[in-house]
Amino acid sequence: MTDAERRPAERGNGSSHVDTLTDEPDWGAIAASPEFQELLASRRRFLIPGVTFFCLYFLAFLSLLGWAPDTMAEHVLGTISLALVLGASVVFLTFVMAWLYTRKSAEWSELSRRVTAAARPPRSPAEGGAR
Amino acid sequence: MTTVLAKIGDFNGLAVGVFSVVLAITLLITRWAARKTTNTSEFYTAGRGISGAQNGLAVAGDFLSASTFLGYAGLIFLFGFDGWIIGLAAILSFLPVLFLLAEPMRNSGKFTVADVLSFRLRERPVRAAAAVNTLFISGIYLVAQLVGAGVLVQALAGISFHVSVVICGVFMITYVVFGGMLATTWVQIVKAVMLMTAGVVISVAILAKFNFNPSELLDKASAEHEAHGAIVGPGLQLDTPLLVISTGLTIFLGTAGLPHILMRFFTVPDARAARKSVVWTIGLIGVFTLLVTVIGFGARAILGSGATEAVGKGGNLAAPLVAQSLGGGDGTTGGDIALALFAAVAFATILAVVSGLVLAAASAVAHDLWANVFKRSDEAGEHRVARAASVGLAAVAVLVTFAVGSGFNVTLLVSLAFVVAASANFPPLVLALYWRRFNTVGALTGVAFGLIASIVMIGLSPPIWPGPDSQGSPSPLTFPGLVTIPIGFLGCWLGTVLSREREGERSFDELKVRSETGLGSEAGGTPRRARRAREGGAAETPSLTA
Repeated sequence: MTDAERRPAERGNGSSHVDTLTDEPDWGAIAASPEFQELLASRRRFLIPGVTFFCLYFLAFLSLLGWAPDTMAEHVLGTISLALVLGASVVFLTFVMAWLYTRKSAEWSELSRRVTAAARPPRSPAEGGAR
Repeated sequence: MTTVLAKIGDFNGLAVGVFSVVLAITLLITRWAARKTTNTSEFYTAGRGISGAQNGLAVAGDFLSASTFLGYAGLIFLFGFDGWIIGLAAILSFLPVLFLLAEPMRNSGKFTVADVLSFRLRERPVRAAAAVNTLFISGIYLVAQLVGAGVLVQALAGISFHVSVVICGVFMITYVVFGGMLATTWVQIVKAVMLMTAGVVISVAILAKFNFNPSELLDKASAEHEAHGAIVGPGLQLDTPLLVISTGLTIFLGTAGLPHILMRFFTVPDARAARKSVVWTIGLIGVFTLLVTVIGFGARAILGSGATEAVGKGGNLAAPLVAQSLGGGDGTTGGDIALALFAAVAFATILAVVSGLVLAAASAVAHDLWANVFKRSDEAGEHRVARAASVGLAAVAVLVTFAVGSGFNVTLLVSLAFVVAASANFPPLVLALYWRRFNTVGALTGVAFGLIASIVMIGLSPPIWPGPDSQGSPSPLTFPGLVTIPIGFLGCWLGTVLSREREGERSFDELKVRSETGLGSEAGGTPRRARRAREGGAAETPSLTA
């Protein structure tokens, strides 16, 4: 492997849609395409609130443990404490958010299929793009 | 319960017998894997032919090491609720992995974490820095696992510390050198299945003793603890708010930055499988995280306060002892069998995790340093170097383990590995994928800041300063992520904005398109078909073009 092959930045980014010599897609054009922008926007709409939410939830949980240990030790169900219930809620939060992400990702797969389709000339079927 | 003390540590023929069966199974796996592992791609990534579910099991296997699995239960036995916080941080950490890392990494990398970083940053310096991170984290974690392994096998089977460590060393080398990622993955899968089964069986058996009423279990556990009812609340171990937050954050982002776990996302055929594997991992580790409270509090309720000494310093023997007790207790056939089976699970756990660590470290040496920083060698040569590096690194780890000895504070090593992963590895990786402006200088400064801050803060923490495990350290934080993670990110930001370098921005579009859509990513599935598909496109470019 030569350096140029490994470093995508150094490979010629052809000005045409697809570089006919290397079959190298024009990344800049794809990135600017409305399909790709829609995919990015959709991802961002989910990821930013999602990541913010679980980070804040966890920080709030840790802060309660740190600053309100007595409240957290209170029993809410038999001898099961509030701390244990909230701890279990962290596990369930992980399950639920992973499920939400998976559900949403079907939509992104569809959007990304459209990006890939628009980026390729129909005559070159032998592409190993991940799907 | 004092009779337990005499039993643990004696030569246990039954346990050794079950260990031998585990070893035989893993060797068969390795023999099968060795036939399929003939080139570098197969060595590092099992030819990208691992399915999402298989990889999910393997990631869970990679994460649930002996120190987590026995350690969590032990910490809950000793400190009640506080012992659970690390486990909760760990399960949650798979959300940032799922949301931010798994799919983009699979789409833009090849074999190692450094591949993702060097995609658009200057290759040699960034790769060298990432390799240093991987070697540091995996190396330290490996020694921690080996020390723990030696102590544990000594306690459970009565084989001496040194012999136990050597056995682990020899077997991890065998798996990695001959079977590469494929053998390592299947050893992980076998281990994960054993571990989950053991966890469920023990938890159900414990709950059955308390009429499946958790309240009753907690009542008995409280009565057996000197802190009484306080064990269901926080504060017995992590006694200041900052300590709680810092420990939680370190494990949260540290787990998401462990190279041997991140590397696993290169073994699947595509981004969809990478996503599926994280979901599987979350399911498995999540269930385990819930079960471990039953085992930890159950150990306290069943073994009682008299067992505090028998479970050892970190409480690592709480889970095996409770298994023995559930089997019928010390001296009974049932108890012996339960202990031996449990010991086998623990042993499989150790072997699987250490081989994953060796593989990650060896990839950093062969793929990052040898082939790409020093630009040596062809593919066959890289495969040879990777195997040689596995042997060399494993040997060094065994020697270091001997040097530090069985009494060494493993928590110190574990916290150092997680702090570096969270502060020096995670920040540049996330920024390389998501911040257009991020550049080489930023990555290097970030790694340097994160590494130095981690070492300094650990050095100033109670296990080290002013003397081993002493009072009056300048920093109370045994897991200092609260300080070091912001320093790591700050380093990345400062380096980026202070340098004028803008070259990384050009290829950010390409990285973004590739990582979000999988366009042009490393093909997976059966390697031969992928190779044939590539022949039509950019000829002999096995790297980033499809």
